[in-house]
Amino acid sequence: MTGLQRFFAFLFCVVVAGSATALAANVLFADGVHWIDHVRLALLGISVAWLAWGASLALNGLLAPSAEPAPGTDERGTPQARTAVLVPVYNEDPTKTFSHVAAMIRSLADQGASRQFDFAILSDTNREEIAAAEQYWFGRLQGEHGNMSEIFYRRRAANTGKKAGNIADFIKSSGAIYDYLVILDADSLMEGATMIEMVRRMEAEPRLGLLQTLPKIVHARSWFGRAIQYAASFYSPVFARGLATTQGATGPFWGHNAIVRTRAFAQSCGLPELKGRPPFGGHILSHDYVEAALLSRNGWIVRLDTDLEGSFEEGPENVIDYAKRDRRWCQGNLQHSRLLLAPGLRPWSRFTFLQGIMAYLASPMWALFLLASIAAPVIIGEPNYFPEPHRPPVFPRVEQFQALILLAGIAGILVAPKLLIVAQGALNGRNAGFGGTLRALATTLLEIAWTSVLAPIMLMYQARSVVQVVCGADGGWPAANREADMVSLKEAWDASWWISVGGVVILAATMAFAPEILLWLLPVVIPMTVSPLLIQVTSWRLSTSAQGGTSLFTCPQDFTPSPVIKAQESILARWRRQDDRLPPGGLNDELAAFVATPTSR
Amino acid sequence: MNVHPERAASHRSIAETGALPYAPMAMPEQRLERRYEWRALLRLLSHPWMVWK
Repeated sequence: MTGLQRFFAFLFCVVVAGSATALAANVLFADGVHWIDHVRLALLGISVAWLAWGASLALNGLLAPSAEPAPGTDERGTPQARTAVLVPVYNEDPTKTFSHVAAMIRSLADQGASRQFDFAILSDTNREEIAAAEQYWFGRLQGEHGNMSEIFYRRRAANTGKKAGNIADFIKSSGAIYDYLVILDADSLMEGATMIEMVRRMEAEPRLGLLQTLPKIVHARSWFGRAIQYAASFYSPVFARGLATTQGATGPFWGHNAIVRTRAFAQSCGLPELKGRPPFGGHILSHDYVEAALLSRNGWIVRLDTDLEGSFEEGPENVIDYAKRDRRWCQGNLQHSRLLLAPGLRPWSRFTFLQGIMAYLASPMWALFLLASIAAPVIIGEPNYFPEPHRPPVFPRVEQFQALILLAGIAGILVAPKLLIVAQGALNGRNAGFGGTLRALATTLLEIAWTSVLAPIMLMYQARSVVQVVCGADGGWPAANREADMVSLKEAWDASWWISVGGVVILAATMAFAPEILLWLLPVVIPMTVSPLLIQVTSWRLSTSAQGGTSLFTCPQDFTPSPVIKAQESILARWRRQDDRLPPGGLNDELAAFVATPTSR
Repeated sequence: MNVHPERAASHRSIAETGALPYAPMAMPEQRLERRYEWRALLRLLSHPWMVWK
């Protein structure tokens, strides 16, 4: 089936991008052919092909038959294989991280399988005060749950190789006694039953090197976070099903909420340091894509099983945190350009690298298309109404209707998959989990409007990230980690003033040089100009009710939270409430939040 | 802290609680750069349908 899905996806892209380019050629060549028109056509064609690729994944997901139970599902009993659950941490809130671990241990204990799973918290924390808090909270975790599972904590002196190096360090020193490793992030949560099922599936398919789950976002509180949580819950399963069927046995690895066969991972995924300096040299940043490609290179199956429920993570709560994370991913994905020609990789792995690169190049391409459209009237100049040797005057055609069709088509590629997901949800009953079809439709329309307003801001951040990486800048912007989720107007202004200024400049340039496209550009220019305000407002807390009744962007986890989430919330609340132990000395105010805070009684 | 003696000797970690089992496993460094596969890329460009095989 995978070959058919890939063929369909490519064909869809070619047809859509070809049609859009042909239509655009009609519009742009109406007043004569100029080199700037060719530039605009090329930029538009590539950008539309990229949008069509995303839509094709959704269509593949919609058309894919409902997930068949993978081998292993029917088996009963607890697998006897030894599995280590790895929780790499790096200056995260230890109370929260350890509460996640505690909830997962309990969940496994409920299934009678906690003895088959050891937990290892692998700390790369380099702030001494947070490390002290980690050790304090590890003691609490060990005291309360050490009788259920083996729990380890170790901290590296130097975080060589970052997360990939952290995992590799564990495998090199302790990997030999574990058949499987469940790799998590500090904010990951998984049901015990899900982890057991993952082990069963690994046991059932000896060629399976890595099994990736689709984590759902939980604990979102802000408008921004809730919108992302909704998108991840409602659209992502369909997109991921399309991805899974398109990628087949050369599946993705997203770095967490996945299980690997220790032997396969150790044999295949020892990452070298790339020659040269960052951003293109040095440690491989987006190691997960590379590890998936290396497992495939060695003949192991890498699979995404979208039917596995009970896998959760947390997402960014505001635009700034999102953009910071995106900056890291951008650098990591562009670094993959060094690996496109690595020896022995499967063609699809190379194509996956290309997709990752394109995900970030698309933004500067759109930005260049907009700039070229503003500059075009200046470059082309006034039309010649009386060209020799024609006597009757020649008036340029205005192809506004075709331009509208083109715009509607591009919008359709973005919007149609989401509306089709609502339609399919109405037919198969999936919308019930999102408050019914009417509510799902209203929320989807709100999410589409929301995404459209924020898209120009995201586009600018991504375009800047690409320029920074290409110019050789390593790392993100130098902003301190904020404990508060909400963004103040000053923080928003500091992070986005240049977008605002850019919006005003584009507006002025359009009015001066290309007033005829002003209306077309307003949906881009207005959000840019008011970006600090949008960033602040979208970080506001969105009130939620336990039943999900009155809140926007409701998801099934609002109505029926997973037991492991409920357990984690209750453990965290208890730990934060209790005052039976004093925090370790030397913690500053910021870190006092990480340890038990005394409460008045 | 209860560091496994052999791990402690390696000085790789500065703190360890619960003494992680010492069971080393080789993780050979993979070759990614030494030989670029230009031919593979040319083959992919000239036979793009390879991608969906």
